[in-house]
Amino acid sequence: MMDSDLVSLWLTLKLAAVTTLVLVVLGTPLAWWLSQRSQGRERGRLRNILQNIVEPLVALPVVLPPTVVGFYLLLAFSPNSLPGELWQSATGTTLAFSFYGLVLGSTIYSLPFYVQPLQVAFSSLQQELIEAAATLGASPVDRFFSLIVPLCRRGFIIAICLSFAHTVGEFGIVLMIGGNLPDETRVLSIALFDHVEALDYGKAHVLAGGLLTFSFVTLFLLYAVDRHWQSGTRTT
Amino acid sequence: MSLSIQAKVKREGGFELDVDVDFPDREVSALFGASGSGKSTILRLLAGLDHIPGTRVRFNNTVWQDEKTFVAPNQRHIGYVFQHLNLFPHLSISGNLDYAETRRQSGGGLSRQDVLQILDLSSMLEKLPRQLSGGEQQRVAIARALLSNPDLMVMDEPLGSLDQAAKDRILPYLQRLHRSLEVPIIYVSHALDEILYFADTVFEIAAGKITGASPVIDFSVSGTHINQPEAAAIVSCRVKSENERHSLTELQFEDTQLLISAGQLIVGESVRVKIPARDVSLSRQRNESSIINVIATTIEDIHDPGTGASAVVKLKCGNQFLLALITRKSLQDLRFEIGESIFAQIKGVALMTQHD
Repeated sequence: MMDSDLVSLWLTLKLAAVTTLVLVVLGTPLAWWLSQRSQGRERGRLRNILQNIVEPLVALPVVLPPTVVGFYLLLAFSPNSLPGELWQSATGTTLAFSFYGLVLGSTIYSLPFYVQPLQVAFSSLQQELIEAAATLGASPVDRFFSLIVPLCRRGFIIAICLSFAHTVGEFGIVLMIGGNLPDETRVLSIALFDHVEALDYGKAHVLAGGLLTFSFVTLFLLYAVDRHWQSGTRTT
Repeated sequence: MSLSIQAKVKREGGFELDVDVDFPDREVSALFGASGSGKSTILRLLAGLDHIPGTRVRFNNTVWQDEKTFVAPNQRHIGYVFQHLNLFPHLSISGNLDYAETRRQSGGGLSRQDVLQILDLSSMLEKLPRQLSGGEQQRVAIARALLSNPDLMVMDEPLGSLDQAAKDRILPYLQRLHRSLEVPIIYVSHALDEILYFADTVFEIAAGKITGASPVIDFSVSGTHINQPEAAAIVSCRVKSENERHSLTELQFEDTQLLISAGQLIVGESVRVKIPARDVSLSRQRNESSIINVIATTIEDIHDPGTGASAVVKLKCGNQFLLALITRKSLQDLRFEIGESIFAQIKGVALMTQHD
């Protein structure tokens, strides 16, 4: 493996880690909000309508080609558009073709892979457990950390692993908004593409094999965790 | 202490709740009614688990809910026992109890040791909830609610998910709890036997409205539920003397006596006993019989449902009443009449609670 590939590996891990961290902070409340459906009361109507719109929006990256998402993000990141302009006036750099642009793009693109498993975990929580904790004096924040997080740990682990792995494997969106800058935006999947284009199959094998092994191990561990929790401490 | 609720709730599907209740202090108030009559809704409003505008809830001098105020459930200090088993599955029994104890907001109340002893939990502390039977889990749930040192206990069909055997085992624990706890208890059930066993005052509820409120002694002998197979008269007696030779206790019941087998009673204290309607038979003469409790009564009322095999006769003895479940055939053959003097032969008398 060449030095430039090591740089790409480091960049990829950094991108996946930062993206996953952003998703944990932003995606968790979003998943919670989407899981809380109110039952036909006046006050809940507006929220239900909003949820009906936001839920498919979050899921869009699952069905859209990454290049479509990348194309629109590229337009948004341009200094001629409002988000790009705001970023430039705040930081003095452009969002497109930068690491932070990649983080933003990856966050949007991996959002459904984080939100959906968590939303399922939240909605299958037994409501009475949370109500019991409330009557025992636990505040909403206390209930979240003392009860909901441990009860949904399986959902959290799946969501974190999926969004991390998905960010590692991402290609189309990175190419569109990040380009191919060494040290800045050249992640593993792009480096692999470069090697193949240069007909350097030996290096391509190292990267492709590495990514394949990583993905398999991730999924293997994920299923193992799942089995453990299904047979072990998880109860209905 | 006082607890009151006024609520008007309209739900989709035509259900309407319209209640205005003041609950008595330091007592077990029972809400008795069929499923879907609105009992649980009242409890949820009391605890703040549902926030429905137009509801007013007041506890002592604190407004829990009115037009402007809504106190969150975690700030109401209510011990809530739910119908379904809902211990925290990821915590051991002692972890579940710790959850409540570390969040209690005031000192005093029952200690952990008291609670473990009353509900007999010491042997299961290290287990996980799923390793316990339903009845044991519900005892832990009650203990957990108690350890939060509540100002008010609220129990929503706590025995509803248990079979009869588990229910019979847990009822005595509830009795012990009632005697050691100084806060009011609101107890919801549709099961007559639980209400008769546990309640001091009974609020009857039907189709979202309170249809009656009476002390359990009056409730036990009036209303349509006296035709249920579990019907029983609850009567108040005073302990007169111990009959050690026969291991019996003599109770003064109005101007007559009842003998029961119950140890450890203090002479002079007032007790409540339950006399199931099916354990009472009627006779015009005082026969020689193995039944030791035969008392003179007059027939107050006859409830003949018109169908089925049995009818209920309400008997007056002094200022209190008994129920007798007899066959409709006997009713016709013997031609019992209202106002007639009759002997009640009582086969079963069960001690319920001691009262000061």
